[in-house]
This record gives sequence, C-alpha cells and structure tokens, in this order.
Amino acid sequence: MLQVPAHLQNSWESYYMEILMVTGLLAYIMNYIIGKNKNSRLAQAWFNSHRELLESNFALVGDDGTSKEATSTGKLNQENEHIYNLWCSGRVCCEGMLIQLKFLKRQDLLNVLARMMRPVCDQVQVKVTLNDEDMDTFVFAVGSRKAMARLQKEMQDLSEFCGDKPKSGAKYGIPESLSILSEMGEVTDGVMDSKMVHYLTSHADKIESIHFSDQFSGPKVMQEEGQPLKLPETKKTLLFTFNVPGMGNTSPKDMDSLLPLMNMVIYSIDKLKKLRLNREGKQKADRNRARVEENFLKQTHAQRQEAAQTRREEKKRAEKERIMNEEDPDRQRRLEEAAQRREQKKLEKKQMKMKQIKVKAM
Amino acid sequence: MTVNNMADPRRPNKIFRYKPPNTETNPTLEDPTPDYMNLLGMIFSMCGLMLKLKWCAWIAVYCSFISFKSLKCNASGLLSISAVVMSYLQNPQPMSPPW
Repeated sequence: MLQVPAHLQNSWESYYMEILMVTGLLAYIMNYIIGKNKNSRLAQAWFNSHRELLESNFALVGDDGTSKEATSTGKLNQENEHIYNLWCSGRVCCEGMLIQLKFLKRQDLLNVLARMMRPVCDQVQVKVTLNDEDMDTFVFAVGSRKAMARLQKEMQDLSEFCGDKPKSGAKYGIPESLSILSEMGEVTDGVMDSKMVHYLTSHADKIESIHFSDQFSGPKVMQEEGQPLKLPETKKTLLFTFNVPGMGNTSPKDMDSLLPLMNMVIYSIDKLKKLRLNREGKQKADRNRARVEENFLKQTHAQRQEAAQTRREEKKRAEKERIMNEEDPDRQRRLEEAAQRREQKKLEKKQMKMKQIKVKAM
Repeated sequence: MTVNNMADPRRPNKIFRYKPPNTETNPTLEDPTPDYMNLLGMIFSMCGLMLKLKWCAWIAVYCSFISFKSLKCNASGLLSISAVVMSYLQNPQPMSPPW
C-alpha cells in the first residue's frame, strides 16, 4: 500500500516543524523570564549587601537625575534586562561614584548557548569622578595581564602616559597574575602601600582592572576625518572593574564577597587625596603632559590650518554676498570700498611682518 | 566597614546629580544587536510575505523576539507575526523541512 505524502495528510503529526518552532519560541520566552528574574535578584542581593557601606559614605545613594530635589532613591536604576546602575554622591574627596552592574544576558537564549562554549563572568564597574583638588597628576593602572595589555592599547591616557610594557606585580608583593602600568616609579610606590597590596593579594581573582588617572578621557576615539581637531576632554577618574565569582553560575550569596572590594574603592578615594608627588615627580608629570599636548598640536597643525583657511574663505564669501544683495548702489559702493581698504590693510600688515622676520633673520 | 571614626565623610552640600552617559559621544556604549535583529526580522518578514516562504516568516518571528523590542510590540514584531499568519492562511499545508 502506498503511503500518502505528508503534505496531503490532515493529521497534526504532519505539522511537526511548526510544533518545533512554537516550542522553540516558548523556550525562548521561558528563558527570558527566568533570566531576567535571576539578574534582578542578583542586582538586589548586591545592593542589599552594599547598602550600609554606601549610605555611611555618601549623602546621596541612588539618583536617576529626573527628580527636582536631590534625594536618595535608595534603589538601583535598571537600564535594561542585564545592566543596573547606581549613582552615589555627597562625599569628601570625590564628586560622585557611578556603579554599573553588568550582568550576563541571561534573558537571551542565544547568549546562554554561546556562553556554554565560552564562559564569561558578570562584572561590576565602579567609576569615581574627582574634583581637581582630590588627586595629584598621574596615571596608574593594575589588573590582570590580559586586561592591562588590552587597556594599554585601547585607553587614550594609558597609551600616551604609560608607554612601557606592563610590569609583573610580583615585584610589589602582589600575585604574578596581576600587572602594573604606571607613569613613573614614584606613583607605583605611593599607591602600592601595605593595605593596597593586601587587598590586591586577597582578591586578585576578582580584580579585572583598576585605573587611576588625572587624564582620563575613555577609549581612543577616531573621528571620521582621521584626527580630532582638539584634545579630548579629561576628568580625574578612578575606574575599577571587578569580576563576580562563579563564572556565570552566580548566586545571590556571591555578592557578599564583593563587599571588601567596595571597601578598597573607598580606601583608594581617601588615599589618593593624600598622595602627592614630590617636586621631581611633579615636574616629570608636567613635562609629560606638555609633551602629549605638543605632539597632538603638531599632528593636527595641518588640519587646523585648513580649517582656519576654510573659515576665512567662508567669511569673505558671506561678505561678498552681502554686498551683492545690497539694493542701494551708493551703499553697495561704500561697502565695496570698505572691504577693499580692509584687504589692503591686511596685505600691508603681512608685508611688514615678513620684512621684520627677514631683518631678524639677518 | 571603613567609616572614618574621626568624622562623617558624607557631605550633603557636595551633591552632584546623576547625568546619564551620552551615547552619541561614545558609540561603544550602545549594543547594536537588537537593531541588527530588528532589521533582519523585517527583511525575513518581507521575504516570507512576498515569496510565500513559511520558514522565512518563522525566522522573522525569532529575530523579532531576539531583538527584545518586539516584546513591547513594535512594527517589526507585528510584521513577522502577520507574515506567519498570512503564509498559513494562503497555504495551510505543514512546512516541509529544507532537507
């Protein structure tokens, strides 16, 4: 007996592909709900374990920037299903602290499957912005070898001020798995006191990177024209990136183990206020900053000249257009004569300058 | 706890308000995946509707789900669902696997 082809049968069994598709969608939705909830519980667990420390150090804990009054919301801002942030402000020695909880995309099934091949961990990033008087002028970073190599390439300030290869942490009594990038030896000696060494040694596995800089402007940004026309804006910043233990299989209890790292952050804020370079160090730092600025100006000299020329031509064209559009012929004539006189004066000034330069050269 | 026993480090008069980071000045902050998935979803929806390919329509629905935003019912999500519905209304036969 011949079998009736599947597409001519009327039973639900022939719709197995559709059933598979719907099952897949249901699995995605279930994973979305479970993943989102897990991230939310982790975020809340982190906040519960850190709340007391933060409230004892900052007058404002939690702000979304929208309310009229600066009052603590006392809760995290949820940016999306896997990123939460918390803004704290109102403390000595700093402007404010932005904490970002960057969880894994547990709500995305594709991401969950990808992580089975390549495990990644949740991260907590703490960015402390400082006032001018809260920190002296230096650039310093310590962290895992891989992170230091990457940051030295990516970060504007680390590539400009810490050009030497990262040094092994073993020289300073911290695990070999950590490396140091520093503008000068005095800075490393100043930062790596016994308490800091203790923090780094006890929690080396959770430290991805620690970056102190008075010239922080974020990662290098390439403009479309090839080079930015002005130096990027810098801000005195401390940037800490911590790895949450568990390598993705994190539980709310693991958030307590991050508390000593927040203690280290607070300790660093107070310490850097007191850390001052000696005279030689300060001179070296000033020379470094002047060198970077000079290099930048040299590189962008051609672009700035071109931009100035374009502006001058634009101005001339606009003036000519104004004269052409003038209806009164007398007024037009007067404006033309005034423009010609201005051009003549400029030319005479330029000729005088050239003569003076020639005389000086002789 | 590292509270300074000498003095309270809190300063209510030194409060700065939170300013959300500007993603225009730093494009690395934005995640492009939802936008790509959204676009892919729209392309597959159009293919599914015009070429009457059921598997295209189903992929469009998956893309819309992955781009998150469809869960808040945007145009791409509705388009992909309508692509699936239309292909089954026009041809109620079950989908055949590509192999």
